[in-house]
Amino acid sequence: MREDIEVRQSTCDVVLGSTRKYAVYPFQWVENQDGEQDCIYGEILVPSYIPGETLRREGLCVAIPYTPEYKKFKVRIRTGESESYLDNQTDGSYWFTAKVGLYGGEAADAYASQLMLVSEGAVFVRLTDGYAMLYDADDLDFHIAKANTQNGKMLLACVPTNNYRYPVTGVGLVRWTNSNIEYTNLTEILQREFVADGVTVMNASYDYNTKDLYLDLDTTFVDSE
Amino acid sequence: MAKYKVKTNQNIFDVAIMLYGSIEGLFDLLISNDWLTMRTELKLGMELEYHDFYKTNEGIVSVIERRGYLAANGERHVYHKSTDQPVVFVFAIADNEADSISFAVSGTGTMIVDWGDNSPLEEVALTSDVRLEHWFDNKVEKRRVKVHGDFQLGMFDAEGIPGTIYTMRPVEVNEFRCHKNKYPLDGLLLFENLTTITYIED
Repeated sequence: MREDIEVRQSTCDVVLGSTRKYAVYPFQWVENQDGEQDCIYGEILVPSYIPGETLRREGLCVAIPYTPEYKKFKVRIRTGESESYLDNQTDGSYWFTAKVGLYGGEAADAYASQLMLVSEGAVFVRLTDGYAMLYDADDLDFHIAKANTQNGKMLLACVPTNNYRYPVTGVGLVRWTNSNIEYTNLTEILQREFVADGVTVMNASYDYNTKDLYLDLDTTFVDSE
Repeated sequence: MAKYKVKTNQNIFDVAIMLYGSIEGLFDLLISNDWLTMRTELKLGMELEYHDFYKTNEGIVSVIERRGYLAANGERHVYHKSTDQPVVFVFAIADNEADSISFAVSGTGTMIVDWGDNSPLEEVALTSDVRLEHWFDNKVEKRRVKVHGDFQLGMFDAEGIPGTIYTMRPVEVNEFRCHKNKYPLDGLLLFENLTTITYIED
């Protein structure tokens, strides 16, 4: 089975996927009577069996919902159900001021209401120099998928000269829209294009009601490569 | 040197395919026309010089000529759009199939809208009554429209926004008009001096 970069057929955009898996720990906003007025405070709960050194070295991921508060915020990391927190070795407290570098800019204080500009999913928290640096938890890369069906669809959709890598290939199905395909050279072009791609068209049928083209393809040759 | 006249809707990659049979021919185009850059927007009838003896893939050039193909894919703006103005609103479009967005505002200041498609940033000087309407020029799985700028709004009518309004920083909005919709209104908590919320049942 061939594999290729996945392309979403409906939008013709490449599909990006996260390249790593991670655990997302629970997060909640908390009261801090002794805290600063222009700050809000949050707490990340991690299981007690995860050593503090691991959290300091590797960071952790957390999902923080949209919070309509334009305030700087600090987080503490609670380890287990007890009142036990990871200490900030810089100032001796439990709190880490959240910092973020938006759009490639310098790291600055993060505001709670702007977190969705960092990530709409999980946020990666890295503890550095007494601060909690925030990043998008997902490392995006092209998604690789099995490509026989995708290649077939691309070949059908592509109009010759629109594909810069293979500029004269493509069935260009749009050219036959609303035509009576029984009286066109579509069959011949289908055979030619698919054979050139190493795939034999065993049977083809067209549903005039739904405008769907059904192809029975023999991919034995490309699968064995 | 031979000359090629640009056809309707052609970009420099299309011309490279037509003349050289591969986009690698782009280098010859750039060398032969010192005014041409990767950012030049080609227009109908522009003349480009090229070396007609040099072809990267002669087979493709001959097939294109024989079958009468024309490469014309137009210009697309797919690069990151940046502004030094802060983001004030993010509209999370809920309906992937939505093909347009509109909203009305009145106020002072300047709004810069990133429509979340391939169109350039739109700068809008606010006055007493401004209606913004935009048709998206592409399809995406997830669309975010971002409004940047430094402005105060007397009125904000969100009728044609098919999704949730998230507010990134405090903004003055005196009147918010809300039509029948099913989206959360948490973002309103960052509106300052909000005196009226009008619910309009269509």
